[in-house]
Amino acid sequence: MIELSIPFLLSAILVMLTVLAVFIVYILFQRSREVRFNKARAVYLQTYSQAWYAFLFQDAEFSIAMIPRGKAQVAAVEEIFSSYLKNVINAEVTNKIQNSANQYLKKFYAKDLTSRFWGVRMNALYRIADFRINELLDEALQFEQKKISKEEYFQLLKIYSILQPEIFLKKIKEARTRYSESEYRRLFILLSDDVFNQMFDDFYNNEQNIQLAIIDTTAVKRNMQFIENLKRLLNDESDEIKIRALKGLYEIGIVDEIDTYIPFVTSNVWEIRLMVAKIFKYAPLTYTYPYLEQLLQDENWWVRSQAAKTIAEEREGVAKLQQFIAHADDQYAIEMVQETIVRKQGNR
Amino acid sequence: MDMPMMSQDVMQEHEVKRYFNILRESVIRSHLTMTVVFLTFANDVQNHAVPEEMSMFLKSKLRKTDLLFQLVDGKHWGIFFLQSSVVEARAFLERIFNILEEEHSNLLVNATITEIRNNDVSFDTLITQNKQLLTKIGQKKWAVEEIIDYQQPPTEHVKVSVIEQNQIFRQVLEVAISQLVIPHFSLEVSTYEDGYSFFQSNNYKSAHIHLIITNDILPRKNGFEILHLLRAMPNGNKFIIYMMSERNSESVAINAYDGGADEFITKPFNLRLLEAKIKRTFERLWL
Amino acid sequence: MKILDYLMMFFSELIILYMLFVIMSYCIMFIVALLDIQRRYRLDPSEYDDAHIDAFYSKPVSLLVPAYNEEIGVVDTVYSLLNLRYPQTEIIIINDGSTDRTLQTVIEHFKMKPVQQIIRVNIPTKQVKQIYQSEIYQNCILVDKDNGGKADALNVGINISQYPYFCSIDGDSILDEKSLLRVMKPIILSDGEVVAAGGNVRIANGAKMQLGSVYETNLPKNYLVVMQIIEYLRAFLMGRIALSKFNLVLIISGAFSVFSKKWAVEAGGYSTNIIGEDMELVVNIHRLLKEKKEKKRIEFVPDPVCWTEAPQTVGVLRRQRRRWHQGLMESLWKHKKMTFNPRYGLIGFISFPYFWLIECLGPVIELAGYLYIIIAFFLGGIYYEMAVVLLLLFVIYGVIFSVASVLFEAWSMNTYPSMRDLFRMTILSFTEIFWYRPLTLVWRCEGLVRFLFGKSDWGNMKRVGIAKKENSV
Repeated sequence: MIELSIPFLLSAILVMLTVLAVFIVYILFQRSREVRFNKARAVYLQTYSQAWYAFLFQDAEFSIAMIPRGKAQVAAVEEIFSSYLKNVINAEVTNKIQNSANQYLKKFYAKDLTSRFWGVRMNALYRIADFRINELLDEALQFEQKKISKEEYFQLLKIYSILQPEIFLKKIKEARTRYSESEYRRLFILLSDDVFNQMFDDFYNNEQNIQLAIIDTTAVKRNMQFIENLKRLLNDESDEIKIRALKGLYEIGIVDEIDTYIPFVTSNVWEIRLMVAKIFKYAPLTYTYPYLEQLLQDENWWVRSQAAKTIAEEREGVAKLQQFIAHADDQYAIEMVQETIVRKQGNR
Repeated sequence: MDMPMMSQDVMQEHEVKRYFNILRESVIRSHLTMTVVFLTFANDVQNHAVPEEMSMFLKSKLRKTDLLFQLVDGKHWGIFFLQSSVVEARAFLERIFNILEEEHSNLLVNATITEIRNNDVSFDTLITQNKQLLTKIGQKKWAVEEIIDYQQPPTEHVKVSVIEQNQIFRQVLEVAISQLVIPHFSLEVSTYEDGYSFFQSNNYKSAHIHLIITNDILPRKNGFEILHLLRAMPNGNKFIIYMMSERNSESVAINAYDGGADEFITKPFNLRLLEAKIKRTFERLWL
Repeated sequence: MKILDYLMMFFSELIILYMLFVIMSYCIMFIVALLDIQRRYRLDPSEYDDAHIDAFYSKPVSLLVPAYNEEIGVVDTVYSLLNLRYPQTEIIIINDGSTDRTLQTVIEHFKMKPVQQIIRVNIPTKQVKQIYQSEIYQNCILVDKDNGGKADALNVGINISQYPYFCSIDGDSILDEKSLLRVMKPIILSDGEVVAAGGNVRIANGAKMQLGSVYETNLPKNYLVVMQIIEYLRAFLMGRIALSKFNLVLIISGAFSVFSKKWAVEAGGYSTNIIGEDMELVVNIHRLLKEKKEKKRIEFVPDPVCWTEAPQTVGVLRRQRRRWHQGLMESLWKHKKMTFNPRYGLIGFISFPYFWLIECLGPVIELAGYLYIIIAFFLGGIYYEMAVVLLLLFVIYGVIFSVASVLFEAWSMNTYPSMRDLFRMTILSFTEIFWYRPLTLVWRCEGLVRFLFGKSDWGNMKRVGIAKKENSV
């Protein structure tokens, strides 16, 4: 028998309803605060966004009235700054935003960093990075000593990478927390070429996620000087690193010689053969054709398909493919080539 | 002045007069500069065959788009250079002067150049003015003078529409573009938050040259649709379309250019660069 | 009389025990959800969004829109997809042999031109008739195929897609511009450890929409729809979030979910011979992962928003619920061996029992509870007390939880900002146990009965094909 008396249940329901009633009152209160907040923000935006534009872009005087007072006005200024930073590149404007943030927003973010809400702390960290508030670097270093989440630490790393790259390089080596590749990429893409080069010099002292992120970032930076770095990695024993390096070279899209890539035509990893078939797009067909013909008869569908596509890209490619069909006996390859020709001509 | 001085193969003053008005109007409409060159002899020519020789010579040196004519007095020639500016006219004159000096030493010639970019000039004024100038420099040899009265294009009214969702940035663009000073153009800037409100406004219907600066992603009717709709219009070429995007991806940019965008600008960008692009775009309208 | 007494006693004990169990588990899930959402309180999500709009960070996604007789909704859906803030997507609209003007509407609207394309058949499907490509948007493709049902249409989409992830969106839903970015977040951040993610589905009735963009959310007038909104909120706060936290999700809405193509193909794609193809795929992937001992996850992401039209009439809602429940039963039954099978870990020990007990049997027991209250009322005497206890438990279960969900939603996400809407939802929550709850219970039981007697309308289903066709009635 379960002892569930009606009075007990009734009082339990009553307690819960009371809690909910209190909660609803709290929400009401919060809503009205929000309305006031939004209004104050809108008023500030209405009044001062022109003044900010004049100050940031046209060297107008800064008026004391523009100094944000209270959270709502801070939110308005944040909105103005973010809109500019997101849409406009201009060193002078960025500097002015940095100075203004150092002067007028610093104290708000320093306080936010001590908030008990994770969300509020994160927002503050985002803004410190966005507006490059270097005067909060000490606070950031102190903040690091606290028990903070992985995400907060990540933001700290970002702040260091922007404001003080030396600290960043040191912290990355400490590897206090492990992040995913894509997160590392988000960090590395922000680094200046100089700092990034230092990361590359230290390539093998990092864990694999960092290594892979470095390779991918290299590809995006599209810097000619990095090509040699990537080619060197082709001798690595890890297939994954080889594939990534090839992918990076493909994305940079500059092939000055094909000798480096020839050994990979016969690799026993199909992804590597696929990447080679892709890279050959950037070399003259006269040099690459014998190898591409070999790849046309590959056992893997993707490799065959890519080889056919690469050949068809060049002007006399389709003719070459038709020649190939005429005296080939590999049925799979022939089918692939026929399909590629159809597609190439169909989409014209 | 008797008839034999007139060449049969060359257009005459009264014939050309009709064409001139049309050419002058198309200068304005198509933004194509026209330059007129007048030539006459610097020395006194007695031989009746000489003007005929001159007509033939000039004719042989012209392009198919250039129009040669002879004035009633038989001693002046005019040439309309379509889609050409004073620079090309000068180059032409230099070239034929060299040839004349070497091969036809009996001919001494002076010339005047009039660059035309507006419709303030009538055919008769043009001829009178040039004749006067040629007479004035009659003492010189191989002289080239310019009449600069008609070289300023009329100020043209163009529309600029900024279609961007972020209100703050929209304002920035509006202010920045409104403050642009582009010679011979007056800009009328209007802003919209999305493609829908842009098309609602009917602003796109006028015949003015219209620069559209639009974001690719917009709440209702996005940039690509704007691009497609405008380019599909019968007079779609009057639109100059810049597309802005925060999506940093090649395929988006390629799609935009394929769809007919004139510029693709990845955000964030430098405002000064945008301003320079706009300036150059308008300057390029006049040859 | 004696027998009846014992019977009534026994049932009341059973039902009360069950109710206590359900209330307990809901409480636990609610607390987990609370902690999870409270953490993100006041966080400005736009910061994260902006960082990821660059193609370099994100992974390209193929968006699959299966459409069967969706000539009204499909254009808006595609517009909303074109407006997604995401760097690299392709949109594949699959016309599943519609009998209305779906094909022509799409062709005309997006200037589709026939193209030649090689299809790599990963999953066998019905015949593809023609592929078209839009002249306006080069990343927008239309596939015309023979009718084969929603699952078959999605499989065609998977075959044609060229990107490593695909996202299925119903032809009558609308996506928020940042939803894809946010649903992809766990996938991107985990470097592919998350193989599938489902988004939060919201009801679009009452929202003002134009050309595929929602610009004002109002609570609809229709009580039935408002009730469904409350139900969605509750399901998501007391279920999805907590289950997701421990990788126990068995259902991610078919209206908006992302899958890794590799894993979906390996799991055999969508099953064509089952009603709940979305749940089936999730269960199949879970199964595959566990069998291969892969440490991968399937997640539910609380905020990405997909707007979908909810049934407005009792008849349509009834058919929908009946079908859902039947689909659920089918999938559970098909994979019944996973229950308490140590091989499948927590999925076998928590998810499956949870679904069997609460989702499957729940309606039966609850309905019995309602009947019990009625019978007890007529029998009178000692049963009164039992009936009142049960009623109070229903109040906790129905009213309190619903109100709590509504208020919690209002506090953390604030989808319906007007105060009036909040009060309306709160008050309506109090009425739930008297009409909405019993109604849905009956419908779900109908679904159960249909499942038991194998009254599956296969032929009919094929013709209905895509999704909640009833919705647009």
